[in-house]
Amino acid sequence: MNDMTARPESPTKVPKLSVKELSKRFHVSGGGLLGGEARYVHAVSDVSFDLERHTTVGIVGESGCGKSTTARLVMHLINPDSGRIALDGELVATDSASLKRFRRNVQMVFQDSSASLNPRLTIEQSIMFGVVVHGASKAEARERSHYLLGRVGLDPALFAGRYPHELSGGQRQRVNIARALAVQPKVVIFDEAVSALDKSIEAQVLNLLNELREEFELSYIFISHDLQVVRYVSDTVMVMYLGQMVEYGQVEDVYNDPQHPYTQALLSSMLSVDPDERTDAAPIQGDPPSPLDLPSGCCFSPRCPHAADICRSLSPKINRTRSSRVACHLVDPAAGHPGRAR
Amino acid sequence: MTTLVESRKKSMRGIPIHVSRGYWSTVWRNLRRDPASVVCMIVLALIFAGAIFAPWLTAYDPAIGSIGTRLKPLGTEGHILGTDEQGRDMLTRLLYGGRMSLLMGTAPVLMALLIGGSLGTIAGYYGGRLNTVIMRTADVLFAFPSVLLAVAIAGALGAGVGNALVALTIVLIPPLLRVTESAATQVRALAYVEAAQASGAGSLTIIRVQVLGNMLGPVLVYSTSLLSVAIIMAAGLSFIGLGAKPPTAEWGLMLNTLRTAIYSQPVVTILPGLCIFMVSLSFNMLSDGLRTAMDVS
Repeated sequence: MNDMTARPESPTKVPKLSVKELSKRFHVSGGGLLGGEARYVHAVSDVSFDLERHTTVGIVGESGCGKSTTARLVMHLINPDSGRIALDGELVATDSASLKRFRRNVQMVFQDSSASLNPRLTIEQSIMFGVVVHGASKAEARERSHYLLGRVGLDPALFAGRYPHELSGGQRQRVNIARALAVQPKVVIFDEAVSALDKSIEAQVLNLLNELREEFELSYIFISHDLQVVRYVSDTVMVMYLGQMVEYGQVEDVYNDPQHPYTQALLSSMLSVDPDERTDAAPIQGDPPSPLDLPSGCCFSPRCPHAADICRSLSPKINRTRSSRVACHLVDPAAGHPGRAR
Repeated sequence: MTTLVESRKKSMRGIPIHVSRGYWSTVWRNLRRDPASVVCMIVLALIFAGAIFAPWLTAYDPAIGSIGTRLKPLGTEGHILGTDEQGRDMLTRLLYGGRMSLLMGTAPVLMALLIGGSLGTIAGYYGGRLNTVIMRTADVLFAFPSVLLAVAIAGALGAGVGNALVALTIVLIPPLLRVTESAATQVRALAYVEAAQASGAGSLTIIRVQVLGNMLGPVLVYSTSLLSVAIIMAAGLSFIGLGAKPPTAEWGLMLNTLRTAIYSQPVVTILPGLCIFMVSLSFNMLSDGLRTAMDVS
């Protein structure tokens, strides 16, 4: 009785996975024995998001904006410079035993379906590997691998004994999904997992992912550069630009009423088959600046049609709007931005 | 969970599970289809079998000769391959000599593979500072010409088979270290190793299951070609008196002692050299064949 009331928040309030102010910069050159100014690539800066139970967070952005680095940081495949990651409200420690426990709960599916399978192992062996690592017997692991192969739509009698090169890209990605699910995780990160597939296969795999999410009560982090796909699978979406979060909110809010100029530009570049949805908006100009040499102030200011003096001098903080969180001076009445250019 | 039970029942009922041909059985099939490799394997098998079963193949003692039968030519009654400068049967000496020569050629490669291979795998897999320390140390050994280094080490330790083995092993470690390191570095960067890390496995498990099997190809090819070099270097050490000592039969040593008879019995004199040449060439060609056989998708 006492225990029940002492609990600070009810379990449903605690997000499944919570990422706070995650940052990573990579050393490029200089600062060593030979001197010179140390140069860094700011791959991810202050990224925060919450993944609620049984939902999907989508992460979108141009290539090189730090989406994949964010995924690897969450998986602890790369050590973050700073930031906190909590699973079920519990901070994740970085000793090997805690990491092993964390990786049992959080799994990842990689972009390259072929390179992420060991060419010398059969499909069955690849799926069994993680299961055995987490203490199951060979027989249990084999049984689970066969069950999951069947569940992702590959007949175990036909596929368990095959090698990766004998499978098509779509089949391989199904194997990768089965492998990720084999250790019975709660969270699965998909890093451009369907981007390399044909459109028809992509649709099949996306539907499979939705089914699996219901069946195994999973939460997804779904990373893609494909805006339509992210809209289809996600509940909340985070837009990234040059390693920074620019907008974060419910997927329909962000897609229907984007607040950040970058999100607006990104969404207007989305192709539509509906002639009434044609846009006259000018597409976004130029390339993103080099992450080696970030512009002062707001990192989007060199390409932003609404950039004012304040944008070039002061980095915007994250502002909560009615529906989302936006890193832009425009939505902050106190920032002193003169307003949208017309 | 019911589906789990069902799937077990299915496999218990014996529905045949398709199993594809594995990589190594494909390589073995390719190797068997390459005539040159097959000839090399047969030659090597015969020479190794001859060395192993020497006591059963010949009635003579390799160390005992007779003054009366010195330097007989090929085809002499009772001595098919003639006799050496002390009247010992050449065939017997060659068979027994193979024991010592093949041991001195193969054992250092295996030892160096064990030591250099482990260090190289560790250096390649972990990278960073550890890699720098291990690889720069190997570079110091690399700075010496290998034959010279072997002679120097064997000379410093003193003549004898054991010391020659140590010297050859030390000389063979740096090249094997470098090959395994580059193979491990390559495999380490591949996505399936990252996927294995993401599954929660420890480094040793990942190296054992995911990395070693994919490094084996280039390392095996290189080791086979090193065998051909090691055989020659071992014979060379014995030739200059730093390996096997008389009256032990050893191909390099036999070449040295028969040197004096090169004008009277050139054909007999050449026989140990021919053995060294055959073994070395076979290993070399087998290494090439292996490389081609491994070139599958």
